[in-house]
Amino acid sequence: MPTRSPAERLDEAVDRLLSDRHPGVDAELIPLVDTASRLRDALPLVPTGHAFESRLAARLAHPSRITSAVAAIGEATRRELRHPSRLLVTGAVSTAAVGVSITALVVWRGTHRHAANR
Amino acid sequence: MSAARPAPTPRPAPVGGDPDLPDVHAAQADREAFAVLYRRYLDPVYGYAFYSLGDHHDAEDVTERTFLAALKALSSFRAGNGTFRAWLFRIAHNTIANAHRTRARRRTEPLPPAFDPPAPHSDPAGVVTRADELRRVLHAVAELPDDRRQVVLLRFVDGLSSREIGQVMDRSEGAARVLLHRALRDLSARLPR
Repeated sequence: MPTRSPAERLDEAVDRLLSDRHPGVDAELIPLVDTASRLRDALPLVPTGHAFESRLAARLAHPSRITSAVAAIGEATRRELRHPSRLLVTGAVSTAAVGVSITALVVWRGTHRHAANR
Repeated sequence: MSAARPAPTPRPAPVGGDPDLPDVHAAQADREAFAVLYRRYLDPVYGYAFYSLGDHHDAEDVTERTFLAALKALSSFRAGNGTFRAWLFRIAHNTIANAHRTRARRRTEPLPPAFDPPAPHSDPAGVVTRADELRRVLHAVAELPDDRRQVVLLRFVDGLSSREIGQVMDRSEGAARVLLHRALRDLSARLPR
C-alpha cells in the first residue's frame, strides 16, 4: 500500500475537523491541525447587509435596460480599445466631420447675410 | 426573485456528485429558481471577497459582479466539469483578481480587514479575547503569499474541499493540498500559542 504524503494526511484531518469529527492525526501534524482549528474558529462567515442583499436580488430578478445598455457600451469600449488604430481613425473621422459641418454652416450663414445686405 | 431576506437555503447533504445539481437544473430551466442558489451562496461569496479585499464596498462590488456573471453564464454550466460551488467560486476568484488589478492601476493600497466581531457574548472579557484572536489570525493570513491565502480562505471560511479549490484556482487537487500544507506550516510559525 503506497504511503500517503503529509499533505494528503493533513487534508483528510482538516476534512474531519471541518465536519466536527475528531481529526486524529500523528504527532508530526498536530501543530498544523491545531492551527487549522484556530482558523476555523477565528474566521466567521461575514453576513451581507440586508439592503445590499435586497438590491442585488432585485437586479438578478429584473436586469434593467440601463444595465444592458451600460454592458453594451462597456463591450463597445473594450472592443475599440483592443484596436487603438480603429479608435484613432474613428476620432479623426468624427473630428473632420464636425469641422466640415461647422465650415459649411459658417459659409451658409455668410452667404445668406451677404444676400440680405444686398 | 423576492427582495425579502429569508434564511439562507442550506446546501443539501452530499449524496455523491454535486448536491447543488437539482437546484442548478431548476435555475437553468427557470431563472426565478436561481434565488435558491443566490440565498445559499450570497454570504459565502461575500465572505470570500471581504477577507480577500479587506473592504466592505469592494466586497459588495465583487459579489454583485459574481452573481450577475453566474446568472448570465448559468446555461453554460456543465456538471461533469466540477461542482456548481467550485464554478461559482471560480467566477468570484477571477472577479477578485480583477479588483486587485484595478487597485494596482489606481495605486491604492489594500486595506487591512476591518471587521466587527459578531454579536457580543454575555462575557465582555470573552469578546475582547475573541476580537484579539481574530485580529492576530487576520494579520497572519494577510501576510501569506497570495495563493496560500486564497487556499486558507476557501478552505476555512467557505469550507471548499481541496478538489474544489483546485478547480477554483486552476490547479490539481494535489497542488491545492500542498498549498494548504504550506499555508498551515507558515501560519503555525506566525501564530504561536
